[in-house]
Amino acid sequence: MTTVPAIARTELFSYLVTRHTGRSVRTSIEDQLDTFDRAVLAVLDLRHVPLIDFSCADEVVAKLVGPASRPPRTRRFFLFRGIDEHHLEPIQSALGRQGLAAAAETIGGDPLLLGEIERDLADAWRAVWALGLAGHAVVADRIGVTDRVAITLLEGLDTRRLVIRDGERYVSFGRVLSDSGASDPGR
Amino acid sequence: MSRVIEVPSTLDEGAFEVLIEAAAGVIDDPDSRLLLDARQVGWVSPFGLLGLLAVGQAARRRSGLAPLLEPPDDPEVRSYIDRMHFWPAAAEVFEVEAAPPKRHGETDTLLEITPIRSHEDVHHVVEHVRERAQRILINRLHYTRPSVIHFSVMLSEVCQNILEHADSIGWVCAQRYHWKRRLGREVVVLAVMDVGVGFEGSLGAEHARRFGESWSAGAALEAAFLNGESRFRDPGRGQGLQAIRRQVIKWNGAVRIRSGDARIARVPEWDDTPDLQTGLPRFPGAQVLIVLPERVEAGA
Repeated sequence: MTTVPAIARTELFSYLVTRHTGRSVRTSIEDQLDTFDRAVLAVLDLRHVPLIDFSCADEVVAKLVGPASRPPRTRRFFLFRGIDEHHLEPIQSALGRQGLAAAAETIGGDPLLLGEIERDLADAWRAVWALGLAGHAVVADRIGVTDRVAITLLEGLDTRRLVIRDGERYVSFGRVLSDSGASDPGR
Repeated sequence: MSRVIEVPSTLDEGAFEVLIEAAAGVIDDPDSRLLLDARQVGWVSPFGLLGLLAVGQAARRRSGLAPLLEPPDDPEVRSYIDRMHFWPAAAEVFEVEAAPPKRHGETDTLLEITPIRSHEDVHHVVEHVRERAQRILINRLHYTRPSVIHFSVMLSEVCQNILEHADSIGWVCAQRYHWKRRLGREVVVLAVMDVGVGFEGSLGAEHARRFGESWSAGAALEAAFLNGESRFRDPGRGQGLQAIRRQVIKWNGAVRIRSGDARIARVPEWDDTPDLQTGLPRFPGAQVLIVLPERVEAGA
């Protein structure tokens, strides 16, 4: 990769309930991200969060992902790891309500797109995740679309900050982490 | 001048209506001191208990005088309200002695009366209810294991409603019952109340103009409960009540929210409450009742 993003890891613990708590958590993450003067991949690990409510999911997930997907902020990417069954509904609801999507990994390490996203975009995202790093032609071949459609889809994923564009290639967050040697200490 | 209101002998949701209608004149008179005479009370529900606190608090806010409360004579009722930690909460509303809560063994109480003033109180409630929720929801209501988390999330959202919209103290409590006559099943009843600005006042600044003259407590309840609207322009707001409604539907339960002069409900097939009632005696804040029935297998 020519443009390697910085990685900011945050492990979340305890009960993520109430909007107040969510706001505090989000603010501290934003403060941490503000210290980076280049693109950054924020990795938020929820494996030790026994419970997240809808208000907290809005603050900690949707409000982080929302502004990040809109220019002209410094490029920020988010990966939510350690997602368990009970995290899903509040996070899906918070993202879906605002038409947002977020990249995630289940507690077992499987890639997962949360929130609201078109099916073909999700197919392209899964292809990039599986390949790690790919140009549009490989993705087009893998998901059975034309090169032109693949380019549109990959640009869409880039706009939504769900993959990292590196020249003509697109890189998955998983690949960024494995290249950095920080894939997942929890597994 | 003290004005005596006799508390109905069965202090439940219906009696709360009777009580607030009777107390309306007193609450509106800033020179009157309310005395709630509960000596004849022979049965009380979580909603009824919080109702006493709410009526007392509304009177206190109006007159600035702590109202008085004659406790029930019935020893079983006294024991129950003691177990529900009523008196510490009552001491902040009424002019009564704050009897310290006694420790009791395993009871059917899921959550004793807990004042909600801050997000710390919500954390406390959610983190401390888990063990009992597990015991009652799984063993008695035969809910699945994840339901304990879903219940905790629901509890968190309904309590936050007090912090986000009421601008006032509120209370929460929950109890397991056997509803032999009404349903023939076990239920968990969750009550949450405050006497704050209510839905009409809370949502008014953002939504009243759009509704014009048809803006009312009923319209505000429909906007919040059915459409997920809130007083904030932030699209992330307003999810809590929607989430509660969805969860209650999954459990085939009932939820009723009273605010101002209206009440909105999610009505399961076993209940006959109207979806929306208006023209009720006006009362400040919001009063929420959630009933979660025991799960029965299809065809059982």
